Amino acid sequence: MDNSKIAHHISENFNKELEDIRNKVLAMGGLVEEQIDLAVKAFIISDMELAETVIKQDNEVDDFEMEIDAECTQILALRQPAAFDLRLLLTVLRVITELERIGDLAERIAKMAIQLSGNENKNDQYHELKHIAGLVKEMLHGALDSFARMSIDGITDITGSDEQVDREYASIIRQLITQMMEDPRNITRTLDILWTVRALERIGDHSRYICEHLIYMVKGEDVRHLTQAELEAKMKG
Amino acid sequence: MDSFNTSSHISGQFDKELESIHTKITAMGQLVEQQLSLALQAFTTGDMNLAMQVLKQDDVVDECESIIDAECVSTIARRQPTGCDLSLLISIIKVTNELESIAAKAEGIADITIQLNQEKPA
Amino acid sequence: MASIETRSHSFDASSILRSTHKHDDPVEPCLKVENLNLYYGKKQALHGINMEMPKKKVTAFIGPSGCGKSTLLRCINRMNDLVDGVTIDGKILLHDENIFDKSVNVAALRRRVGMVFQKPNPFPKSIFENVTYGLRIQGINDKRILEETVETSLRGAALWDEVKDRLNDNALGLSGGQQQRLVIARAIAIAPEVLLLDEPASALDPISTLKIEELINELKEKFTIVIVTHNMQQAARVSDYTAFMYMGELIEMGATSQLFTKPTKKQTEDYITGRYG
Repeated sequence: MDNSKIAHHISENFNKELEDIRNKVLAMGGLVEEQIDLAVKAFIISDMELAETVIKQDNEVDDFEMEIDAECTQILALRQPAAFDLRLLLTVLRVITELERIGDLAERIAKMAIQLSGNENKNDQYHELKHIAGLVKEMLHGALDSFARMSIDGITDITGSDEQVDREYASIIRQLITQMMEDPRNITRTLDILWTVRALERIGDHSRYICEHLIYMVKGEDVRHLTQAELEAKMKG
Repeated sequence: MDSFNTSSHISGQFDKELESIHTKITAMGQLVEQQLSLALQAFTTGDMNLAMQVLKQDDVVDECESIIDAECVSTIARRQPTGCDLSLLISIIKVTNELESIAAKAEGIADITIQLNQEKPA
Repeated sequence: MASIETRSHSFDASSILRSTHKHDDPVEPCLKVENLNLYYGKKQALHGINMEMPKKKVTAFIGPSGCGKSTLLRCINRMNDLVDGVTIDGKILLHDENIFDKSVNVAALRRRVGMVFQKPNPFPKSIFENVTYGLRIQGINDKRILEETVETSLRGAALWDEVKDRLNDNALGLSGGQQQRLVIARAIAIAPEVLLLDEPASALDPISTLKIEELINELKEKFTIVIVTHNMQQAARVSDYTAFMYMGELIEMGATSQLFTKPTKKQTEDYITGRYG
């Protein structure tokens, strides 16, 4: 792994502390990725056990968040970092908040799966859901990969995917509303799919936010609340 | 406000910086509260103008978040606070983020209000 | 549904937010350094320095030992004139007047540009005599003027309340932090425009240090301040602008909060984050 951004402090201990934090964030990110994966699977195949696993994992995610948070605060107090080091630590604090929220959304999907188990399944409904899930997982993975490399090369491709997620979300919603009107007996089931798609769309938003935090970390610029076009222009300039 | 103890540092300048951040986050909180009230009112009464006002004011909320964050970061970098001062500044960064999320939800409600109104048969 | 309380629609947070962009104010330079080179014999110690120090602001010079920050500071009141073998070319303009011009009276320049050193150096005389020393040299002996100056200078140096009842005591009986504030009172008694502070707090305990830093913040209402410090955090706390120097060159200068959160040069980044160069 490329350590050039966090290593080379005169204080060897400081290098280790930063490296340790990065590894924990990546472990936390990996866990959250797994949660999304399992939750979507549990929802589609109505697997209660899988869903329970996701819910249990949420405690681990929360523990990670609190532990990393405490470590960052401690380093801020003891090392009094500046410039990139300071931005790195503040970014970690923000990234773990986003990861924790993504974990909550995965948990919500898992709870939906439990609520639905026992109902009869129509697997053909899940094509779009699987697709949007694939998109947001790719976004999150890309964001975590950027963090691991401490580089924002190609980051606008990831944030750009969020627009595609939003478009697919809108189209799935229209489709589900049509289904509900045509077949009112399935409204409950359709609403659950709707909430799950909604949770996935939110995961896409949080993955985009992680990218924005990483841009702040590397460039020191606050790019939140920019449109994709504005962001691309800024990254070129 | 005992818990927000911005005074009595040896550095009066530090007190001033914390006070300035305090004033701003209070203002941001009030604005977000107002956004939520207006959005709900717009939704329940179907008032398009109110809904538009909520959408317009969302930029101000975003700006609040950016400015307060930047001040907190600058204060952390320059004052190297420890103990409760550091916790306070880190909490503020988190609180601005939560407030922004709440405001985004209010914006969502306003959006839905406008959509509903547009779908209404004339 | 519960009734919804609506607040005044005219609430405007933006006006509060816009009130605070301090560093966007236009700044008027007090001192300008232009293409300054300094040699100790054949060895060049300062390389083509160009910078501006804004009026009534605090500018800090930081950098590793031997980077030239103290040498540069000592140029500003021509202290280096006293050092054998020093040659200087280039200009330092104090309000558009080059301080190296032949027409400049060095004693008069040093009245306009006061200096405070690392070790407090009060004279072994009374507190009163210490503060009035500069005025007496100028031939001012009017008791009323001297007494007024002592009070305003000691108040200005945040020392008045601690010493007003013992103005005739020997200054050497004061604590280190008090002595340093006394030296600052002595410097401001002659109403200079610029105060040069060379590591003013490095010999003091943390509380005295914070008091000096707080004082610096008050003094900039009246004076343009240039401070050299090896303590980066101190520069971050007290200054409005920071200049980072390395090997006799000015690497980067900017608003302090920008330089400490988002420096533009890698050398600056490495130094303030404590990395190998």
